[in-house]
Amino acid sequence: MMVPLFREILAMTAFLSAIIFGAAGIVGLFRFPDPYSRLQAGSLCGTTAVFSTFLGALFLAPTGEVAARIIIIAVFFLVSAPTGSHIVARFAWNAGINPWRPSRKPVAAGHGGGTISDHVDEERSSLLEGLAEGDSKTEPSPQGEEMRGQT
Amino acid sequence: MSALMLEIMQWFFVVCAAGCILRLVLGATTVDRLVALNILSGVVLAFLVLRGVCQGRALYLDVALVYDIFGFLGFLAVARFLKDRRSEEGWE
Repeated sequence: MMVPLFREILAMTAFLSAIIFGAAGIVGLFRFPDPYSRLQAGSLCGTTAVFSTFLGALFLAPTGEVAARIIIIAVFFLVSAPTGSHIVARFAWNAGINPWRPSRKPVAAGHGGGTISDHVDEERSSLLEGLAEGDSKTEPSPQGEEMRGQT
Repeated sequence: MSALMLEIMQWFFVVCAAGCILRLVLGATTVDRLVALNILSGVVLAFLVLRGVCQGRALYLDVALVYDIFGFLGFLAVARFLKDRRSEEGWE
């Protein structure tokens, strides 16, 4: 399989970026504190690394039929991967998992009462009331706290 | 040179898939498992594409396309099933 040198250089660039972003995504999948940020790291790995790999494979494709199939796969992957991430995020939000916050210290008096987490919970419950169709009462429960404790 | 690059990338995606499977097995919550499943689908897809280019055969790329479509449909089915079960009898 003889490939011209400039195509090899382009493919090597794409593969290097794929290795960097893929390693960052896998590290983030294990190190981030809550499912939302893990979803972000996973989407980084999924979209950037896999798409860079498709580009590199496109540069190295030996025949035209292989290149055409790679283009079709890349287009379908660009449709399906963000859809899956969106479904996971909506599932996590409806399941009552609260987003991770760095600290739960109350804001000092004089900057307006209440805590940051109170504000987020209030916003969240108003959003959930808009989403729920009356019968399914899904208030933010302490489930998220338990799950965060398990990780 | 290009064969060596393709070989290295295949091993890299094998390691990525192993990490995703580890997260899938010991994921703390159901959402973590879903995240790992979503990423695993993309990583295996990239591995199959690299394999097909390395061998120079279009058959592996057909397999990769069908794997992507069915993986996405299976993922939709799993998410729908978990949502229905949660709304019927509560979370977990």
